[in-house]
Amino acid sequence: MYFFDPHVHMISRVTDDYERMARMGCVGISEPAFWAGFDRGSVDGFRDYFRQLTEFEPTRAAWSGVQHYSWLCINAKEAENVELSREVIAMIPEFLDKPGVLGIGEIGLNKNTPNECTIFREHVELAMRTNELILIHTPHLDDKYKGTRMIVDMLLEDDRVDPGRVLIDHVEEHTVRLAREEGFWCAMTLYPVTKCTPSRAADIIEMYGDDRIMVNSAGDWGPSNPTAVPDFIMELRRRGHAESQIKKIVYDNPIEFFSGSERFEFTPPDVFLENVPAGVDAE
Amino acid sequence: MESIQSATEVFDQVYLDLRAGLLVLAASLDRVDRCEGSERIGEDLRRERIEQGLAILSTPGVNRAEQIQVLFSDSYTPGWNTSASPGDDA
Repeated sequence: MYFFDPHVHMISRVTDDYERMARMGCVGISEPAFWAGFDRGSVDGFRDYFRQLTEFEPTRAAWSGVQHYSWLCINAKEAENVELSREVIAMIPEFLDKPGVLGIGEIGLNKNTPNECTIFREHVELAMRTNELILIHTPHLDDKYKGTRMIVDMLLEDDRVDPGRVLIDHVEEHTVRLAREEGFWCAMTLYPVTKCTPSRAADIIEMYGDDRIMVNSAGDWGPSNPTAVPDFIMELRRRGHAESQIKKIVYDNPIEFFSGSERFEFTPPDVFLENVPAGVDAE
Repeated sequence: MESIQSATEVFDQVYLDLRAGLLVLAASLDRVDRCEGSERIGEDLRRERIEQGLAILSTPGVNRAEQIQVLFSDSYTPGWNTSASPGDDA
């Protein structure tokens, strides 16, 4: 079955991971800007990062027949540096006309602090001014419930925000309803320990339905599994769900949401795979 | 996209996982309790939350996972963003 991984940080993964994902049916991924494991020191550090996201990663993904899309922002972990955050937000428009850039993300909260709220609102303002889709990171563990509610509150402050153009990510049992009741899209992240397991994600689908929802691996430099979406597919198959229903979650829904961006140009996999470019050696 | 399996089918599938999960819980708590200073863990708020979580497991219902998630969550104050300081923490 073809699938999308709508949230995976491939910059932290090796080319072999693209290859393994492709072998399991991955035909497209979207890569939000995130925290590198350390706080970057300058706006030029982000400029180089955005170049990698929008120039090299799509090329590297294509070697395996995977179509690559990206999101731009400064992550909530770095929002405590308000001055740098504002410099990055001011620089983002340089990249908004690059092919495959889907919008602003992953913005959100981490520890639910006032500075994080300030920078979250300024990212939303940029997205509204430039008519971009928004991808939202919700906090981890104990901070998640409160942070998700705060994020929804801030989004509802702004009449210009169309919930159908916002994806709230990393939802779990206690936050999925918050996102869906207000009309937002949402996504579940399949992680080995924190966030959702494939079986809990399948439970949530069975309880809340398959509209406006998707699953992702959020694979990155930490403990994570870039082939987690196929694990979710297998879980739903084990439970006897129809292939068409599974495909809706892992393929149709991401395409429907991403289609809200005018820069989402998706080539049907059978056509794209006929024109896979040759890779190059890294050394 | 509701579950299309019977309760018996699901229970058959998850029984060994449940058994294994209970053993992980039991062995983990035993490991803590047999170490020096285990009496102080009783004063740890996290240990209290574990006890509350175990109590949730023994109650009937279909939203135990959600209840446990809320148990391990910071509290939220509605209207936090309508106060005089819009950036105040909730």
